[in-house]
Amino acid sequence: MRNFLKRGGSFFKKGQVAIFIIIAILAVGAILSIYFLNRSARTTERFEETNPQTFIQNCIEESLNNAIETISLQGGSANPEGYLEYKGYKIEYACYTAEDFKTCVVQKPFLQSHIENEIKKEIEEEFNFCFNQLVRNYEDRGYNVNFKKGNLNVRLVPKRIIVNTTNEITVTKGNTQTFKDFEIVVNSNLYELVWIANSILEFEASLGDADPTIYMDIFRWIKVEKISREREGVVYIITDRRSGDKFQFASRSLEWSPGHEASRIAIY
Amino acid sequence: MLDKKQIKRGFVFLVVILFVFALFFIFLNKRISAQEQQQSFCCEKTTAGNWCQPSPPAECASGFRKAPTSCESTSYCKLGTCVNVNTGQCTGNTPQIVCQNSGGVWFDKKEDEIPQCKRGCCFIGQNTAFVNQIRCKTLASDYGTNTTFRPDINSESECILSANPDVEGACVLEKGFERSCKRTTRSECISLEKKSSSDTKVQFHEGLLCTAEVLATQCAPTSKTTCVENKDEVYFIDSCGNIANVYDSSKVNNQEYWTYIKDPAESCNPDSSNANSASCGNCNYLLGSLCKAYRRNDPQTPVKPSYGDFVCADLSCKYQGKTYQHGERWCGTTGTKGNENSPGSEHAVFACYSGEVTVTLCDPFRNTVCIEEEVVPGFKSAGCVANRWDDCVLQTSKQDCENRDVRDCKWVEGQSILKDDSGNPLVVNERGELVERKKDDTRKGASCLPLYPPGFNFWEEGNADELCAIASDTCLVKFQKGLLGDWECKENCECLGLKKGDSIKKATTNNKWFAEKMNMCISLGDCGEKLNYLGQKGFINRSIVRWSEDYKG
Repeated sequence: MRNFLKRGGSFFKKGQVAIFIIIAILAVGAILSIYFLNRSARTTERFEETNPQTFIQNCIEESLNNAIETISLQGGSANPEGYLEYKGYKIEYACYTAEDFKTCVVQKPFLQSHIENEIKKEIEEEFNFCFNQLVRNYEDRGYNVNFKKGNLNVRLVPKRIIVNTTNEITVTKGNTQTFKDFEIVVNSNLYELVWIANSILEFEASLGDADPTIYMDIFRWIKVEKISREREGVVYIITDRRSGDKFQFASRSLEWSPGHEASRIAIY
Repeated sequence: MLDKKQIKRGFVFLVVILFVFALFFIFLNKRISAQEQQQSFCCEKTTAGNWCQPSPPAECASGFRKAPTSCESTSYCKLGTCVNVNTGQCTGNTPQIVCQNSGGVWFDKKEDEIPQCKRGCCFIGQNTAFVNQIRCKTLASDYGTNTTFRPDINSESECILSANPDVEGACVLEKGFERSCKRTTRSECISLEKKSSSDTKVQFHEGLLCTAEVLATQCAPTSKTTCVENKDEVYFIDSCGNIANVYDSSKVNNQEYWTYIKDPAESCNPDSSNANSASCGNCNYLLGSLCKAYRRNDPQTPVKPSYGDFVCADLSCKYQGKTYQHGERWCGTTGTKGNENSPGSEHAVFACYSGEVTVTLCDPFRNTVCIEEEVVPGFKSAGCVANRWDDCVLQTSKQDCENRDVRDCKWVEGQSILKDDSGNPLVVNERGELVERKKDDTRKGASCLPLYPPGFNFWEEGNADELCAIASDTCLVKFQKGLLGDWECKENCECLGLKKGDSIKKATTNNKWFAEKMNMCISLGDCGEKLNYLGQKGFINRSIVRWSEDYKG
């Protein structure tokens, strides 16, 4: 018996390994199946025939939040031009001059409008996809669908970002229902952060410098950091301490070259 | 008639001339090109993506305009005010092309010269903003409220003082036997009345809380507290969820305290921050506290409130073993101790706000330095200011040198950088002025040196050597050797730490003259024998003593 066990021991060991591998594969497969089934189930669940607004909100929200975050951390642009690099981000200059001892030239006169346009451009494709998906969902449920494409508009307002569209969907299945003026709202303090950024920009363009502490004296929940990037300018980072919302941008104004005035010295 | 030889000669001569001319033309072209590269153009857009910058032509982006002149002289890059006619935003210092690309209207005027940009006082709800009229309307839309614009108010301070918050009170809604209540302003109560059904009676009671017994509403006092947006203090809330008065544990059952609306100035300890107080929620952001939810492990809220879940959080900061108050600013440096103005060091302003320390560096190369002041005892303020060192060495009197209104210099007695026409160092008279040295003059010299030695970009080609050379000096020490004996010092012996007649063998650079000269040198900037901002040695050339050829050791 002992010999049998000795001879067969290695066989049993190999068998144990194989069993464990099979169990592991089955377990991973089960987990993945649950995940993907659940995801599709969630997608199905979210669609309510009488409330397409919720569907659109859920569909676009993630892309919208991603776009807001990316644009906020890159000085207000999705694809920055004229930027400096800081901590892996390309941060666009809102005000810039290549010359030393001169105040900067404004590159972004209307920061808020620019950001609104950038967000709109970033989510437009996803937005169209969501509406196409909505149309398909209705059609799958036997509705006749008439879709009229309208305009997409993004607005930064106090404490929120509102995305609205004049898209119109008319669905018919016995009765006819028309859904229009879709509005997606996300909580964000970007409006307030950009307001402060504009104020800083004004100082940078007119005086060549801004004091970050004056904003922290006035606004209870705001942190303003000014990071000097030698010869490249400065990065301003404006953070809402409560929500963690952040907006950062670069500026190069009134830069001083080293030993700047010494050429004026004439000893002899 | 020319013969063949002559024709041939003439042809060869012509070819040579043409060849020389061609070479000259190519050379001239290259020279112009090189000059063009050095010349600054106004690029409408650079390859780096920036608008309206003076740059070499190679850096101008293709497809955009460029001109061999300053940007101010061009039409597309001239600076003016850009106006957004939809939002009312007016931005100065904006090039015309940038404005047009952004959808704005460009004016070749300053902001205050444009009627659309003229500012007045915009009343938005209970707040005010000093903006132009169009902007006021935009704010109304953004905040979803009505606004009033007063163009006659011409200053921001006047605008702030004009804010007249609507009176607050209890808005009681009576429907049948039910008397609900909401704490609102008078105008909000009127709006509620308009929205209510016809069988609802609405009455506004100015200055009263919903828990006032006389109102007999269904709202009752509680011991719950909360924070209120845009307010610093901790507030009681009643059973209907209305804000009552500032949290005061001694008044939790006080009927009078639950009847009338009280200003925070009339509540507990109004002149104190009340940070970490278990009994009083009269927080004050300017004094260093703010309403916050109590959390056991939060260092800002170490004390549990007697009632409710909110306290005045302590906004002070602990940094390197010291405690700093909220709003306090102090100076620091990137240099290690003792190396605050060393090569590589930068001054910095440290600030404490809401329990967090932020650091803002002053300009590199110590072009700006940090200045600190105790505005009130125990509370510092600091900021970066220009380092005005550039004309220090030119000052000839102590009074002028130390005039802090104009420059940042120090008067150092000992050696003079400034010399007379014969090259002799100047000396100081009894009035503290530098004058020419007379024969057998025993008066000492002095130099006016930067208080904060500036930084130089000495590792690149520039004027660092020239600047440091201001403090360079040569001292010719003369020795004489007799027939027997050693070399003895005869002249300028102090430069090697010797007296007249001392042997050359005692010569040392460890002497007063050398020390004074070195002090002058290192005070000028990133010059001389110095450690860097991390305390590391630089590359020192110790060959500062050169022996003449007569000396044979």
